[in-house]
Amino acid sequence: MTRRDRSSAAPPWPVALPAALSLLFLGLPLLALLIKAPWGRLWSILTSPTSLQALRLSLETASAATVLAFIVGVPLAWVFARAEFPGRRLARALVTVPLVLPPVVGGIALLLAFGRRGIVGQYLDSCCGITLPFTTAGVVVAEAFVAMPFLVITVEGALRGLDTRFEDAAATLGASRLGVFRRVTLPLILPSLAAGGVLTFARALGEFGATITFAGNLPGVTQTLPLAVYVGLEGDPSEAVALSLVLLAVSVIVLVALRDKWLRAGAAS
Amino acid sequence: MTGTGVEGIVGRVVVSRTDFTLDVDVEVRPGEVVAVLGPNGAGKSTLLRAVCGLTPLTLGSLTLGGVVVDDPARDVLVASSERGVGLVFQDYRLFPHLSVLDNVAFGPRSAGRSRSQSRADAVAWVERLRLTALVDRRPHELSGGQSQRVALARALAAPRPHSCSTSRPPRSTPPPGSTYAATCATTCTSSRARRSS
Repeated sequence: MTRRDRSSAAPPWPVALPAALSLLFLGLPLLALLIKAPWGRLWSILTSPTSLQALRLSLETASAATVLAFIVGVPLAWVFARAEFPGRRLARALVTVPLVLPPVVGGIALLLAFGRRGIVGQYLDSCCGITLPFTTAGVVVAEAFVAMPFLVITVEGALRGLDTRFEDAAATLGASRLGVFRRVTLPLILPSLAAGGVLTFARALGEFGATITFAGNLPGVTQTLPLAVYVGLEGDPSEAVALSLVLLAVSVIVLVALRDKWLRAGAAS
Repeated sequence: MTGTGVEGIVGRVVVSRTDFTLDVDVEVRPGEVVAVLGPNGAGKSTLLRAVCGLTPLTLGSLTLGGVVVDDPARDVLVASSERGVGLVFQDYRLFPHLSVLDNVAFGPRSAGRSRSQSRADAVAWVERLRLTALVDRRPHELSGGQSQRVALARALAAPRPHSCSTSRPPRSTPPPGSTYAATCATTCTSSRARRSS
């Protein structure tokens, strides 16, 4: 037997068994969701005003949080990847905290910062009349807080891995620094921007803890899909299952749609 | 920037790194063709990078077409994009996300010309270098020789008010099989220089 034959042969059982178990472990709950879904009543549940309201609110806030993350997160990623300044490592660590912080804690921290009596929130309230907690804008803030690090980390990694030779070439062709960034750097990291955007959107869409803590659970205002699922579970479990199915479907659709895009972009480069 | 009345590329290029110091006097007169030869690691690329503004000088000073573009003692450093020095990189560095035509149009576009004007400029250069059949290709679809010609077209197409490149395009293309000697394949000619000659 040659080595090539061996490498394509079945893995030994101490590897194969745990591998199969983990696949089962990850797949089974999703399968259960599909099996136990109230398929007969699905349409009527999903088209109920409560569900539609939650679905629309979720899509709107998750999209807004993703856009917000792009606007401020991509420049931050660039600074982390390219600029040298004192405290850079500390700042970078700070950005990754929300990745591991329990979302509820994030919600409380947001309240202490941007709540009506928060260290910043009280001035927002008194000077500009801006109130974030328990508003739709608050949902966006909570989602962005939790999800933005995914974008920053992904894009920073891409910028670090990017070959600066192309940026040098652009500079000798007369492109300004901003021109180089816009016309060379951004297109070259497009696959990572898409990947980071997908992760951010998916994380924002599923956000629960920080949202309910900071923005509350007001139907039509701050009750996003995950919150509606939670509320549904206490009342009508089949409603919760149906809404969960929507979240699952949206996640799968987003992943599949964008996977195609970034595979093609990757193949072209 | 101070005018010194010195034409061409003149100066002393000193670039120090921890394990390496380049120290060379440069004097290239208008219209002159200069080959920089040396063993690996001698600093040929570093010299060209310094002239193009990609690597700042540690010491010395550099004058292009009578304008001081790098002088660490006086805190003068003109950005690469402002120098008007064309460079064909040894490894070409064609932008992988752009077609051949858009690669060549990159310089005109960077100079603020409209998309259609830039493309028109690019078409002219593409025709001169006999690349017309390749305009829609991506860099990864080109052979080495084709990449080289595209890189040359791209460098020449960039509008350079201080460079001879745009006013006097080469009449013939380099044969596809030819390779540039070491790293010295450049069109590093300061132009104001050429214009006065």
